[in-house]
Amino acid sequence: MKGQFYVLGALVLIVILFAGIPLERPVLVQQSKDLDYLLTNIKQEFPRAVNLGRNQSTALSVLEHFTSFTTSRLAEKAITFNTFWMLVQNTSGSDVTIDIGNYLGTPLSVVLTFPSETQIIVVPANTTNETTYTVSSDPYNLTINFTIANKTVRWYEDKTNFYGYFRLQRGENIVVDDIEA
Amino acid sequence: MRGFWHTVEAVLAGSLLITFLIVVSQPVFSDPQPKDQQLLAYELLHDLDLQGVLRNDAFFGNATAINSRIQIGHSNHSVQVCTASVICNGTAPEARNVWIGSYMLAGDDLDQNGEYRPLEVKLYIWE
Repeated sequence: MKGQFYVLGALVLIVILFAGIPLERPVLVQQSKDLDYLLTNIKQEFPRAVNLGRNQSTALSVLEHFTSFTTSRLAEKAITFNTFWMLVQNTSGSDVTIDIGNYLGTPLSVVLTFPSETQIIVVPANTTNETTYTVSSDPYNLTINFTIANKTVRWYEDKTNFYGYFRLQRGENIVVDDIEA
Repeated sequence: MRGFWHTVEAVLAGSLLITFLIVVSQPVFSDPQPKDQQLLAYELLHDLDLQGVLRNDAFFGNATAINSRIQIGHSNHSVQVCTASVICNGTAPEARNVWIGSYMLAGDDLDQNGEYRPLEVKLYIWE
């Protein structure tokens, strides 16, 4: 009978000793390096797509196509690609066409603050919105606010301008960056 | 007093058993090499791009030419050039432990049909 108390006492002591050890170990996640270099690759290629399209007067179409291409190629690698981009092209005189691509997965309210006015443009998810604006000064400052980021740029009216925000996610690994070209 | 030492022995035995179980159930750390090989593949393709020899070959679907420009120690390698509709030139290896580096190209020009054609160059590396 006494021996059973020893065993019971031992069990109690063992429980006390090991109570501090967490039952669920944290899952070890290795940082995916490929997200970093794929983001670098994408940041390099989007302006090229704009240039190629600009030379063929199909910049918007090429951008949409390249966005779709990038999304599908990265999905093959289990990476979710989200992007927001803005393409501004001079149409005539002081008029510029502003194309906004929202591929962030949710509808977006984009606030464009020009020196003389503010425009609020609602862009549904996975669509492109086109609007025009008459530039009052050259170069002009423009603040782009689209909920998750805010960027102020200084652009020339007779130049094709591009702003891109890119987000790559695989599981808990996320890389984000933006470019202005 | 003898009971106390029995308890100590039992605690030691139980601790040894639990320690053994914890050690056995430790997660296995994966070798970081696969990621490094992926990075190596990307860097090799990026270097070819910087040399100005990647885009033209890729545009003409010349995976063999791209592959011939790549030198990697003792590892085997092959290249595929894939279009948006995943039609690929070049061969993918049928081997185990293959690492793939991917490099996207926005395209150099419109194709002969006047259509935009972005490309993905894949470099496969295996032992």
